[in-house]
This record gives sequence, structure tokens and C-alpha cells, in this order.
Amino acid sequence: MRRPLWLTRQNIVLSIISIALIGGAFETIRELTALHARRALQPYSFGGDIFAGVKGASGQEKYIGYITDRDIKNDKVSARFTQAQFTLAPVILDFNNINHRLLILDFQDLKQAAALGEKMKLRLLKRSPQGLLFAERLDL
Amino acid sequence: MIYLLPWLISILQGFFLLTALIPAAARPRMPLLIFWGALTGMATTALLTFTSFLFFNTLIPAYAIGINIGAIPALFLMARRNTLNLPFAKGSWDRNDLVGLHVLLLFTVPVILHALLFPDGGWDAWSCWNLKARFLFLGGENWRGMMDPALWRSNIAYPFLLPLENVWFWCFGTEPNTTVTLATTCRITFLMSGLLFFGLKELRGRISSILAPLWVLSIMFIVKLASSQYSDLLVGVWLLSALLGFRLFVERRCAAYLTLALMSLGFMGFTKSEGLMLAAITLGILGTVVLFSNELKRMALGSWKALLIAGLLSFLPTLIFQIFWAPNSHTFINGLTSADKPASLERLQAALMFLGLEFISPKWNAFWLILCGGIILGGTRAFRRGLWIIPAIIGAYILSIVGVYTVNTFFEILWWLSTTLNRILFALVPALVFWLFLAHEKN
Repeated sequence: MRRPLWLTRQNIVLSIISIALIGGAFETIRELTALHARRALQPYSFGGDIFAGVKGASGQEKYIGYITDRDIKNDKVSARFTQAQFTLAPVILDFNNINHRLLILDFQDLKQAAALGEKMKLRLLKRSPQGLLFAERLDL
Repeated sequence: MIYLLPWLISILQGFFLLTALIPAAARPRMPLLIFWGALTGMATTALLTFTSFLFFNTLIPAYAIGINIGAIPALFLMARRNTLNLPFAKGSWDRNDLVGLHVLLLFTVPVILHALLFPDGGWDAWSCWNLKARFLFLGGENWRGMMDPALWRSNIAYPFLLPLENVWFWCFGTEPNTTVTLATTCRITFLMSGLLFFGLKELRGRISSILAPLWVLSIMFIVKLASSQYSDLLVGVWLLSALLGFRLFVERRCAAYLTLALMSLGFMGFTKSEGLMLAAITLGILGTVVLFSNELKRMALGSWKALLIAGLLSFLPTLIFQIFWAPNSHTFINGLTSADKPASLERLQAALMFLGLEFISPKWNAFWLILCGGIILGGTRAFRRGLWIIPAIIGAYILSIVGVYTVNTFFEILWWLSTTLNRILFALVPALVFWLFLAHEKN
């Protein structure tokens, strides 16, 4: 029996691709619908926005020390730090480096932040509702 | 609406550059010329914007706008001289092109919808690419702060074509907003799918070429990565552009396409380190093939000049960056020499295992299995007349990547593979689909 003319290798591949395409398109629509429904319940927010208040107060400073008691190896903490960096660019955030005039204190334990402030004689410039402290070293 | 202006400028720039390069008789049809031109213009506008940093050590928006607009009449005159009284393209839009264009727009909608859900893009968008863009736009003379060692988590040794593209658009506004970065990723995706469709249609002459970009855009995982505002998309686009240029050079024996392929590689080298590695591999393989062919002997002196000048200019930003500016990578430990973190067979095994797992992962909707099956069904045709260079390039690149995973012991291997390997494969998708669709054509 002769093979029908339309039954070429190319047509077989194109047919399989068409099936995958239709399946993929339905899957994409389903997933996008679910994502949009979830977003309607929980509006988008960018983690770095909580650091926006520091922007105006940092002036022409090139570096700000970012001091925290959180573990940077944790993805959430790492994201928080890099989003802060994104928001404050072109200022450079120096992670856990206290040798800068301006410091952001991002502490879970505010008592520790207060103790550090006292020890280093920091002047508080700003305090955000989320507990971020923006301070200046008076000895530099 | 103001942001339509930089796009229009980049389309005109790219269109006239292509028509200035390709002789009228060898030009592709209008749809391909427009899509390819829009992509090429995207790179040229970004690189002309880069000259502001080169000459003034800061971004001067008025200069960037002026030089980009000023390039258009110059390119137009060159294009006109190269066209004489002939039409700009070899053929105009036909009905199939218009249908295809509308379907492509429809399939780009999911990318837009997903991008809107995450206006700041994925992790690498705000930790690397858009961060660099903000330094370039806001940093004044301190723009090189983006390469400060304190920012080692942000891939400071990476070049910055994508950030420059966003900066070019921001020149028309007052602030570095997410509208531009979000629109850029959607625009590149749309142009990539157009280049794939019209490029294949130019070579195959079939409307079924539309299945190539639609298949790619139907995969949710690809939609996610395409809308993430990452540079991997650009690597994929420029590899496709280089391969299309080389294919047209082989089929039409027109040196201008080789020039375009070379320019694409230059642009690719300025996207990211992996792009530079891929550009070097592609250049090595294409260069060897071309040098040993008879085509070069037939090339006129003018074609040689165009090839060398365009190649040099497109690689120049990469050379300047790598020689003068690029800081040492803080995320590289040579496992072959390090006593603390030596390279091991386990790392190699993990890299190979992850590669295998990616190929069968459900998130790809059986893409890799269909691709392999399709290539096998293509038989020897898949490797005819220069088509073999596509698997050669991709094979060499994957081997090099596996080598990097094994030798660079800075990162914990499982975490590194799980976060980056899929993006490396994603960048290869347009080129592989291009190969699959050509693998079934007769000579």
C-alpha cells in the first residue's frame, strides 16, 4: 500500500507541534487566570518600597551601610536587601558595613538596634512605620 | 505615548541600516526587513546612547536623543544610495503575513498579562538588569558605581545592553519607571517571535512557519521567563539573528548577511557573560566554516570593508567594557586550583543530571522531547548545507556551560543549577526551533 502524499515526516512533526501548542495555550490561559485571581485578592507590592523614605534623606551620599541582624543566606532576607538596593540606587548599600556616615538599621530585634545606636553614638534621622531606622554616625 | 517615539526612532534606524547594508537585489521581504530592522535598531540606539557615557562619562539625554535622531538621515541616504530606484524590500506584505502578524500579537498577550502581574520583573531584573539601568540613568558621573565590589551580589562583571535599551527609552521621560522595562521585555518577545516567523517564511516560503513562534509562546514557562525582564531573552534573540544571517548568506551568497550575523554576535557579547561565551563559540565555528569555504574569495572589497567595520563597531562596546571597566568577578572560584573549594566529579554529575531533568521536566510541555523527535525524523536533512553548525554551536555552548558549573565552585551547585540552568536553556529555544523547522526542508 502506498503512503498517502500528505503523510510526510514534516507533517507528522507539525501535527505534534500543533497539538502541543493547543495544549500549551490552554494551560497558559488556565494558569494566567489563576494568577490574576490570586492577584485580585493580594495586590502587588514591591519589597523595596519600604526603603523609599530613606531616598530623600540620603542626599548626595555614595554609600550607606545596611546593618541587619537577619541572615542574608535566607532568600527572603536576600530579596529584601537587593530590593532595598534597587530602590535606593544609585546609592550603594554596603551590607553589614558600619564604616559609613549613614546607616540603615534593619533589625528584627529593635533592642539590639537601640544598643548599637547607643554604642556608636548614632543620631536617628528617620524611622519608618515598618521599624527601619535611618541613622547618622556623628564620629565620621 | 511619548515612549512610542524612541521605538519609532529605533525601528527607522534599524530599517535603514539593513537597507544600507543589503544590496536591493538580495534583500528579504518587507515583514522580515521591518522585524529584523526593529531588533537591530534596538541595539544600535542602545549603543549610540552608550557613547554618552564614553564621551561625557555621564548620561546626557539630549545628546542621546540628538545622536540617535541624527543617525537616521545619514542611514537613509546610505540606504537610498544602495537601493537606487528599486523598492526598499524585495516583496511587500501578503495576506498570510498579515494573518501571521495578528496571530503573533494575540500570542504575545499572555506575555503582557504575566508581565503586568510582576511590573518589577523577576529577581535578576531588580537585582541586576534594572539596577544597572537605574545607575546608568540616575548615577550621573557615578554611573560606574554599578560595578562597585560592594554590589557583588548583582553580577557586577556583566555587560549591559538591556539596561542601555531601557535607558534610551527613559531619556524621553523624567524618571526610571517600570512601564519602560515592562514594555521592553514584551517588545523583545514580540520581535523575537516575528523574526522567527518571517525569517523561517523567508527561507521556507510556508505559512506553517507561524507554528514555530506560536509553539514557543504557548509554553507557560517560556511566557514567565520572557516577561521576567532578563537578558537571557536578548541572548536568544541575537543567536537567532546570527543564525538567520548566516543561513541567508549560505542561500543567497550575499556578504551583507554575513555582516549582519557578525553584528548580531557583537550585540550578543554585550548582553551578559554567557552571551559573550556563546558569541565567541559561534564566531569561532562560523569563522572557521566561512574561512574554509569559497564564498570569501568571491567577496568584493566593499563587502570586506563593511564586514570588518560593522563587526568591529558591534564588538567595540564589549571590548571597551571587558578591557577597561569590567571588575573581577567576585562570584568565581577556580575549583581546579582552589584547595578550599575544589572542583569535583559530583559537580559534573549534578550538572549533567540537572540537564537531563530539565529535558523531561513538565514545565517545558514536552518541548525538548518533541524537538529531539523532530530532529531525528528530519534525518540527514537536519545537517545539510551548513545547518550542522546550529547543533555544533549549541552543543559546544552546553559543554562549556557544564564546564563552568563544574569548575566554578563559588556557588553551592544544586542551588546554582536550580536557579540558572533553565534560563540558559531558554535562551537557546528560538535557535533550536529555527533549526527544527529547517531540518525538514529540501535543499
